[in-house]
Amino acid sequence: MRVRRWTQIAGTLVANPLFAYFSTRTIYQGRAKGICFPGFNCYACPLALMSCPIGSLQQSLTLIGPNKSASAAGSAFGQVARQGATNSIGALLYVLGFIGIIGVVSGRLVCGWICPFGFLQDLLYKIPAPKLKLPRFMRYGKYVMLAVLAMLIPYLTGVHWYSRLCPAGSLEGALPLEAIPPRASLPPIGWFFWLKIGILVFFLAWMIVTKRPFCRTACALGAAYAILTPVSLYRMHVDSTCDRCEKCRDVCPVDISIYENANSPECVRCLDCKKECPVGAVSSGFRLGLTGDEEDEPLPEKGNVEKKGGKH
Amino acid sequence: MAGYFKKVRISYLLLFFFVAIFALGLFWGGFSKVLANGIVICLDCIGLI
Repeated sequence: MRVRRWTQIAGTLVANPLFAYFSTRTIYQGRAKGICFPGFNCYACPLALMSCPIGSLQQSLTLIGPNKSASAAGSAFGQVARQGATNSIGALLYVLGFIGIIGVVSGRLVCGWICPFGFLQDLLYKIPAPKLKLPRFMRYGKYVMLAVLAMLIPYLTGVHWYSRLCPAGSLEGALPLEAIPPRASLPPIGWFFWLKIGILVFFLAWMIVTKRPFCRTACALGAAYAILTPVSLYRMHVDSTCDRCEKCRDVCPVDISIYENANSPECVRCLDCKKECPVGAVSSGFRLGLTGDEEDEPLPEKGNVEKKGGKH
Repeated sequence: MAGYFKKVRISYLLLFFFVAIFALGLFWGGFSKVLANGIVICLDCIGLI
């Protein structure tokens, strides 16, 4: 099995190691919940050790926005943790700083190597089925999700709508908690629960026929990292030996041709293209020079390159 | 000096900025706030609202 599969399994287990829940039926309340997990993992999952950065971001925004009272309804169960906006600005800075550091250092490396939801999508796409391409414009959906659903609307309304619609919450939180409820009782299931399950089923079906549709169209965390990927310290590079055979696109989990933009915001830095490139044109690594003088050398025009095989 | 800062990679300026706001958030009680939010089950996340 490839190294990346092992790191994805390890990432999933690090994010969700609390199997003791099955015997204790008690949600973990330790200090690790104050740390955000860098990948997309629901903190309502009974096995979750850490917090979801997007959930925490929304939570902070609801508590500093003009409609703070709305956030108190329907978000907390068990210990009510609403303490007003006193240190919510601190939480907002803490979460934004965390996401920013990960993004600037590695770009979307996390998406490709440790994100549990990305791992799920990679696995589901292996199921034999007719495969569909994703229209290019849909990649902008994730930025709308981040700016509007995960930031603006929570700030204005006091309700974190991204979490309400998030399929990861349905899969990792709703279904396990309904199947194996905690000792304290949960509120009854209503129509909104079924709406969430419907969204989950839609995305699961889409994941079978399209490469990583959630990452590419709807992941707010991926969008935040994507914004920083072009300036991240971890860089991809395609040298002039590239003959644009499109092998990179064939193996790419987000369906991009790496030679078009080596540090594309879409690239999850899985490095499958680097491994599969027949001429070894793709390289990667941390570029730590202090100045921006070392730019990627541009590729020659397609017509000027000697074709070395592959489909064009 | 200004010329030097123009040449410094924006990556490092952004990294410095994000480390600074992370540290400020941490100092301002961000960890405990995220902890307080994280220890409850988010009913929004599981659709029980």
